[in-house]
Amino acid sequence: MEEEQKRRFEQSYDTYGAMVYRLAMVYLGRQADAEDVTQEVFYRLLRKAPAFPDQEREKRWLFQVTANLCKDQLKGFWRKRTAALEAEFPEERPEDRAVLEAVLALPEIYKGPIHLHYYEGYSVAETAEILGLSPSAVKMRLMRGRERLKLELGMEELV
Amino acid sequence: MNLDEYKGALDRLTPAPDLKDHIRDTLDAPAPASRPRKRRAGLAALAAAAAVACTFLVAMAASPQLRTAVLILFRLEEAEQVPAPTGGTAETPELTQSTIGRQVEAQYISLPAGFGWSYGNGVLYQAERADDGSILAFHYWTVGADGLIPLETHTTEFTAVWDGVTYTDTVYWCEYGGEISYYNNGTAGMALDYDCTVSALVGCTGKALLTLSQGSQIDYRAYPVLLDLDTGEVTGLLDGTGWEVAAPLTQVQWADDLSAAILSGDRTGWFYCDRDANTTVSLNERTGLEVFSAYFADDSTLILLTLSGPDGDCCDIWTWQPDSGILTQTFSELPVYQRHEEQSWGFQFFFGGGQGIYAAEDGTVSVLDLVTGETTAVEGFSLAQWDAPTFIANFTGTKVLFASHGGQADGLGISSLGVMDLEAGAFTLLDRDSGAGLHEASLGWFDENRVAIWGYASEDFTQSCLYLYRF
Repeated sequence: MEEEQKRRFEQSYDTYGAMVYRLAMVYLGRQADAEDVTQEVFYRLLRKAPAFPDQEREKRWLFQVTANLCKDQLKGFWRKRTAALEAEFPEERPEDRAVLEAVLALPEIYKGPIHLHYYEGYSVAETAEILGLSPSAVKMRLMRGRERLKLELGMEELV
Repeated sequence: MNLDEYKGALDRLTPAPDLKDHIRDTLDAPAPASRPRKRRAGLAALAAAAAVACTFLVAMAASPQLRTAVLILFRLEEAEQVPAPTGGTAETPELTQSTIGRQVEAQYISLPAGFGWSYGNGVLYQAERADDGSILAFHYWTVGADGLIPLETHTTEFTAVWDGVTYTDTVYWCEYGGEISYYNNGTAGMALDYDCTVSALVGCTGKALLTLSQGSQIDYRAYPVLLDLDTGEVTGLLDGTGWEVAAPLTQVQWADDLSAAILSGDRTGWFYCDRDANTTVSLNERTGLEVFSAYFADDSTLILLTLSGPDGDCCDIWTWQPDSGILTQTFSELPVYQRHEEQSWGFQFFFGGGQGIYAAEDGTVSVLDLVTGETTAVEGFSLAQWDAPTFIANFTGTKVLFASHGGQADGLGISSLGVMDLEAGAFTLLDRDSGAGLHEASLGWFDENRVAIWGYASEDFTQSCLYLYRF
């Protein structure tokens, strides 16, 4: 890796590394898989990405590539019929674990819209552009994903 | 779960401290290498549990006068050779086209940055944004035989006030084929804790629905108003109807003539609002059912879903006519289709046309008319050979899109694409040969007759492409 690439990696990873990893964890639910995707995303950033006019465009590109790579991973999981959840969470706060389990148990199609809109703060239109969906599809997925999150927690609370 | 709990929990998903060093080391290598995976012993057991087939009841139509029609399958001998994006960023849209098997017309369009597409309306849009994400210019296009055709783009600015919040936004819209397509930027997500979205009214070109919302997760609530596209004037739609019994609203569906609405809330259930009579009634109380979901079949008939079966894994289908109060069951104990489950089969509901797909345990497929109880069997076709297929109806429910996955392209990896034409009684199926270099991101109806696949060059995701198919 050349010095310029090293510098760009240091800067990009420090700024976006946790963000990329977090989205990958939301999709994949396994630390090792999320790390694989994070590694591949930064590989593509350094070796294949175009020059970005500003940091926001770079950030959106990273979200887009992360989501697409995760969906590819999940496709592989289903082919191998090993789509199980093995989340490795911090154990200090049980309430966090309950929330994370509910988020990770969402069907794949709701994860990207829910995360980008509610956690990262993108608008419906921006979320649609990043994920290659129509705004109406994003709205529908947000609504259903929101309902499912509440439903999952409700069931757990009953237990 | 409130938003703070949600975000607080996600904040705890942080990468291991050594991940950065590992990636840096890997990037120094000539080719990327995967980190060794830390599989846990419990994985196999969990996977096995996930793969357990559900024990469903046999689906049966409730109507004794059930009629059965047949769809004839035509599988094209010639497979589509799916072109890969050329890479790089196109400055202008580029279109090529071909006819596959002398039957399916395909158009392949490479698009510059900023393009998107609207499901079902037959238009593309392009947003030119400033660095801060604000829209500098907005354009609509439709797809002609030789390229993109620009459409006249209009803007409507509005200000609306609901529950103490003032909403100000610009709607970009165009009229094409007698329908209006809309785009509005909305607010900056959760940063402001409120949002507004615009949607079309069927057959109405002068006004649009505007949904104002506040809060998130269990605090989410919405309120619909009517937006005049010429003046930007906003008027309430539910005032005086007693809609408050259903509040906080999370979803509102409208009859085409806006005379009635189905209201639903996460905590309150399902309600029928009659704007002419200024009444709002609980669907549970009015029908005696425990309604799981409700939709308009037409302006005078609702489709109601209730859960059934020993474990609530099945659903019953009903029609209910608000004027007469007549309640009719059209299907009972339909197992629910579990996409991606091993040996997946059962009922999948469409949100257009009041129809559903039923995949039997032996893989045979039927289209169910949820209003009449009629079924249409697909002759000579079995789902058993397909991996997690997708079905999507067009807006009017006259055609059903079929896609199977497992092709060479990344993302959706669509290996076969077909359309069931319910009026013509034909199901045309096209096999696809995709190479590397294409990432298929989304699939749907571009308009009433054309299927769209939206994709990217998988090398760098900077080039978008739209593939259209007319069967």
